[in-house]
Amino acid sequence: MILRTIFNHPIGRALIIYVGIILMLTVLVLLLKPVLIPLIIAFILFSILDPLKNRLMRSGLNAISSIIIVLMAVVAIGVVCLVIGIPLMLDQWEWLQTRLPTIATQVAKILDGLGASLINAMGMQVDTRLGERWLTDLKSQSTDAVVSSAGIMVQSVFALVFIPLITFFLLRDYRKMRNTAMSWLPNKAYELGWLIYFRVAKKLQNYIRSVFMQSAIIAMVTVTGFYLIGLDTAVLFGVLAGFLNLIPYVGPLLSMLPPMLVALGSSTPDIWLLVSIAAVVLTAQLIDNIFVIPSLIASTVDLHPMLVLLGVVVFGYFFGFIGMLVAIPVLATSKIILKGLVNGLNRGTSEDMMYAVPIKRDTQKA
Amino acid sequence: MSKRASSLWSNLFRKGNPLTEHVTELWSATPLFRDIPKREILQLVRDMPPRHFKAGEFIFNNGDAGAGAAVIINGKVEIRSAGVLLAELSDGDFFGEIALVLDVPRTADAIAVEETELIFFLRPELDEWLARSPYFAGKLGANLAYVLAQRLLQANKALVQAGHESHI
Repeated sequence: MILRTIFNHPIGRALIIYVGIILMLTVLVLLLKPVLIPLIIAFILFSILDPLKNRLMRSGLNAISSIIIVLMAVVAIGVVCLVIGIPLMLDQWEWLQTRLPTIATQVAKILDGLGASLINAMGMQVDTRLGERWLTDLKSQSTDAVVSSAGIMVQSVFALVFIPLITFFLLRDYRKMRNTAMSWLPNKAYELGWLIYFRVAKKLQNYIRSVFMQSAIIAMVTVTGFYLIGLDTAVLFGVLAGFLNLIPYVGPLLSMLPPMLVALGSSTPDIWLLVSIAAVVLTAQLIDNIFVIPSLIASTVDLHPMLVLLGVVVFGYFFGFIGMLVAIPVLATSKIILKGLVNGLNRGTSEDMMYAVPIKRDTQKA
Repeated sequence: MSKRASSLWSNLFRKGNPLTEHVTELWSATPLFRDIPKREILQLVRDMPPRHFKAGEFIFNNGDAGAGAAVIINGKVEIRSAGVLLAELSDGDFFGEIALVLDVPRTADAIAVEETELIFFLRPELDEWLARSPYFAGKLGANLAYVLAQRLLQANKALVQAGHESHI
């Protein structure tokens, strides 16, 4: 009875349908969990490559030739990365691993010293064995990482085959698959469903393209900056900064942390190196805020900064790093769906109704 | 020719889906797709499944969200506003083209008078077509402007005539 009353009200109906959609999507995510990450990467690649395919098609090529050329370009870039970039980063990672115990000991010392001086100066009770425990945790995590590396290798090989294959089919058949899926909508919800899809797809595609462009720019700036200030792990930490930039607000701060720990971990910590690292990250953020965000990102998502920050923290708490990455797209999508449903089902009260002449349904039946 | 060879040739030169070809012909005959090659229209309608409406079923209501235009494959549709019959449409006629331009609610009702089958051409499709093939999609834009201008002229004439009649 209560449910029927809620369903009869347009906003209640919109909320019930919204909850239904969220539940369906959650079930879908749970079902696809084993292949979710490769699937997300394939969709991201599709979003980035689809405009390139269209550009080739505009020059007169057919769809299949355009897809093959675009994918070959991606594979070529991938091969260049594998041949040049990955060995370089692996070298830097190996160097970092050899330095890790020294860095950890040094940082532990600093943390312990900091704890002791806080007790002396302010009477604060800080766990003075914090650094030692952090070192033990780090060592055990390194061991776990080695143990799980075999599993990661298998997953990587699977992903290397799966991702290009799915991307190819998405580039070729996405329109057909989407139209078929939309045809399952009932007549009453058909056009509204399409409109909501259109808004979500447009926002998401713009967001993905913009954010990846932004991350690439940040990665290039930080790699160059770290290289110029003489950081041994410039490529590794620069690329990491690019990736971390995908997380709003928190990402730039996190990207400063690893190079600073390495700088702190040297036998004679160089204060100028620490300042230079901060300067490089801040310069990258400045370029991002002055040039990249206004021209690329500004209009892509329309979310309040407070909501973005809360979303990133909450998603990060529940779903880890991936949660932080997907927080913004998920929140933006939810907002568009809810707004679209409320406006679409709330006929007669929408502000757009100024264009329409309200009439009684019973009087116009043929 | 062996049976295997003949099936190969028949596959190579196979006929397309008759419904898709029929819908292509229908759209091609409308002023909306004037001077646009049929192969372009075929690409558009190929993956769009038709919609079926029972007699008396509303295709859309005044105030509903509008996502695009529709062409009638078979059946009859009435367009009504405030209870007044504006148009009676049948096979090959199209309606709802305002939604291809403006993101505003429908300004009239469309009702299937009898069992009706129609196919939509939606704004997302137009948007994607514009990215793929801007020349022909632009041509559709010009045709759309022509159709809407014609409708405006008709509406103006009707208003003037109504004004004259009220003076008499």
